[in-house]
Amino acid sequence: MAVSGGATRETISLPITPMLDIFSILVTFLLMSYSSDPISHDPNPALELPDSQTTVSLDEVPAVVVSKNEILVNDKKVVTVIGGTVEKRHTTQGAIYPLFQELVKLNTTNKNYADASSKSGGDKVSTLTLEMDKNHRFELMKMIMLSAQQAKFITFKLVVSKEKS
Amino acid sequence: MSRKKKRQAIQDIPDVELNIMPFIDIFSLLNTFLLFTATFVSIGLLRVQVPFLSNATPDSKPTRSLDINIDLSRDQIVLRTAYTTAPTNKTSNSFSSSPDGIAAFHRALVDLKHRNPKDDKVTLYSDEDVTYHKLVEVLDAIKIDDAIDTSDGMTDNNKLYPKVVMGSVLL
Repeated sequence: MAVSGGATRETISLPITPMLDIFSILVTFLLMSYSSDPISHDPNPALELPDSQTTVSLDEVPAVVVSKNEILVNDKKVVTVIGGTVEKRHTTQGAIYPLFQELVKLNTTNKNYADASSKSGGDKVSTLTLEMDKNHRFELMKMIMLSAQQAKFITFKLVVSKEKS
Repeated sequence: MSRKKKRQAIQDIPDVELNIMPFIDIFSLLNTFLLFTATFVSIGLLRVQVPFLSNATPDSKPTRSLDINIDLSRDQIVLRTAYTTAPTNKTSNSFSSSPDGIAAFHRALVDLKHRNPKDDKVTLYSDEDVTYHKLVEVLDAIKIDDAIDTSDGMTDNNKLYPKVVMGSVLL
């Protein structure tokens, strides 16, 4: 068979050393920053967490998220936050009523789960993990805590960003 | 060996080429896995409590302990202490809410802990205009024990005053 065309074939060698360098650096960086925390959770992009020196790691996904503009319970929007507070029509006795209703449901679910799994569960039932934007005032936090308190949540785990030492 | 023979010996060595394709494959897979599972923000927790009403009967013989109350406003932190039984020895110290003031407040708490090692509870009263960011700074000053070695990143360092009650959260 005749060979078509008369062009000579050239061997092209791709320099892969720079790519290997990049890969090595990237792998080293990722391995160094690899988190061994029991729960991997990405904070809500619409909020900024405050920095803390705590070494206590997150042990459950936050149930209540307070972004700049809304309050969410298990990713479900409950109420809108305007100017760092909640509209008066949603508040009663200093608490946020729609939030209270959602937290009562959450507490009931937690209790049922604890009963069904026959665990002591006391800690889980009364503890609420709260993720909140660092620029919110205590006024809003107090309303949220009062709502949770009336829904029988006594202990709060405040989600913070660990400062790198 | 003469120089000519040496040159000949070098020329006789065959070209050896290292096969790095498997190496690249491993690196690619490792990179993909690490990029998917990477968490670039390390998240921590600070535990606080709110006061609650209890129908439990109080101790008939209350032990003498130190009540530590902290009033937090935008510009100032006031540390008030008093013993539960006479002589109450009430004290009150003010600190600014600047980083230096918070550091001085933390030193005062460390000193207090050294003098009363059994007390582990603090009641914090915060004004409504204090930001969450400032509140966390003060909580750090209350809870974090600098003497604990946290180089492993796992040891709980919330040991100075681990129980913080948010006194203002009460109907």
